[in-house]
Amino acid sequence: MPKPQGKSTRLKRPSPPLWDGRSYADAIIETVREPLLVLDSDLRVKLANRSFYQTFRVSPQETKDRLIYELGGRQWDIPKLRRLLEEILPQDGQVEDFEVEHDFPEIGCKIMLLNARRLRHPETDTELILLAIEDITERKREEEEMTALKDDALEKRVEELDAFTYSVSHDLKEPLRALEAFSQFLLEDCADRLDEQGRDYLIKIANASIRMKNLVDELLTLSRASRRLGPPVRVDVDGLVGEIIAGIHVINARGAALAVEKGLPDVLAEPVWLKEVFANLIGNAVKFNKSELPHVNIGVRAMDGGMATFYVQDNGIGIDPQYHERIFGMFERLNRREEYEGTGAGLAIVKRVLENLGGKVWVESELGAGATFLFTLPVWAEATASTEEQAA
Amino acid sequence: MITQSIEPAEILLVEDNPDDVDITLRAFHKLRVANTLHVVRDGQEALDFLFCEGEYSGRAGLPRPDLVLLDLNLPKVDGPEVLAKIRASDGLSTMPVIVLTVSERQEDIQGSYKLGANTYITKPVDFAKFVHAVEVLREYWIVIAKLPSRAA
Repeated sequence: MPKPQGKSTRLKRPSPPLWDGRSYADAIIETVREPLLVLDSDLRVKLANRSFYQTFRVSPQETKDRLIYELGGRQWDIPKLRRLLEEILPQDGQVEDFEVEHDFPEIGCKIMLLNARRLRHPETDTELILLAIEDITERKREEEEMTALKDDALEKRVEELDAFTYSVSHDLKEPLRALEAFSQFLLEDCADRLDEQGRDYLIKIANASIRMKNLVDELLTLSRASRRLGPPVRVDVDGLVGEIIAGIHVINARGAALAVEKGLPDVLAEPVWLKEVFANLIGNAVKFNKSELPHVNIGVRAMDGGMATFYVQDNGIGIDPQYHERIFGMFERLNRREEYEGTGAGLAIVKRVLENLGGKVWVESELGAGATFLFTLPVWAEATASTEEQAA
Repeated sequence: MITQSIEPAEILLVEDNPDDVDITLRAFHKLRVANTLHVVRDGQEALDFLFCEGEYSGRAGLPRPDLVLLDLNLPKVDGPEVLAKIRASDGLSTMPVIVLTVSERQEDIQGSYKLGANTYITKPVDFAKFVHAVEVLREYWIVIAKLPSRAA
């Protein structure tokens, strides 16, 4: 077998004497700041560094040549560590960033990040395992605290914004009531004293105030949509979509054909708001449709990782891809009001509701080629129901 | 509508917004009922009127209102405080008080009922709805409900 040459290419000179392997390894192991263990193939401790003894408060006498699981009165008999050493490592040869959480009777709960590597001695055909242990308990705790702090701050900001939206909406309603009422009084009392144009102006004022009232109401709806009404429950989507379709004739003046896939999965959601989502999307599919034979298909495109992807597909006017993000913004409209009624708040509400329920929404469409709105929601499952019960 | 054989009711409207005063007056006018509607523009004036004090000291001996329509956001003394003083008073504690406000906040609704409001109504934006609300209110509290005698 060739002897290791190192990287030196200057072969003429005699190679420097090799380090004594053992003391070299010992020195490295002692220098490393993190706890380090060297195990033999029977998982007995051949070497441990000072950091290991300090961190886990054990002595060399009770460590050397002991089976790793027996260390410190079997403190190290950790199922996850057994899996790492007996299953994963023999197969993969090396493992990095393997996280183990364990409650040590002596030193308390520790979260450790393990790196392990198998070494085979080419001559003796014996095997060693290097196990580096990084104690990340503190770091984890700090990270969690930071995340909690950030979440708290964010939640507070959202709450403030909601309160702001709510009070602004209310304050806007006050003058609006007056505007609507007095233009109506004027029409009732003085219509005969106004000419055609005067009456037209007055009607325009009244209509504008009604429109603004709708905008303010939508704003209030949006601000309410961000507060969850109740905990998510099992929702029968078949029944919910059926209800919407039964009541949709009001806006479905052109008689669009509505086709719903059979057997839609039950989801984990908040029924009132989920209805708002479906009603908005189906309503849009019917409204933004100039086809001779308008039709809308509703169903499930995919089920994956506990989430269902629902679709609402139409053969309507379609949406230019450059606007696919913008349409979910508050009060965004792509069409003139004379053409299509509405405040432009519907999709913003849809987005807010779905995000609150743990889902998302997007659109696939080309101008003039219909649109397919897709959204995901967690599927209801027995398992989630039983954990809910346990939690309750 | 139920026949108007009863004597005209005295109603006190506590409302600081002049637009809302006009709108409410018109709603009553629309119903063509011969009620006397007194209007006061802040909470202190409402208390003076009810307790016959200050500029209303001359009201002593006159019948107290049959019904109070009370806004919540009022200058000087706010609505909840007016309501609390009414309920704390021997002479007025049984007087029907209807909170008529723009607020839809749960805290306001619950707070008002806790202080002893008889009804809580949000002002509808739509005038026709407002007229209807006033009609229902008047019909229930003035015509249908049996109330304590209104001796001063």
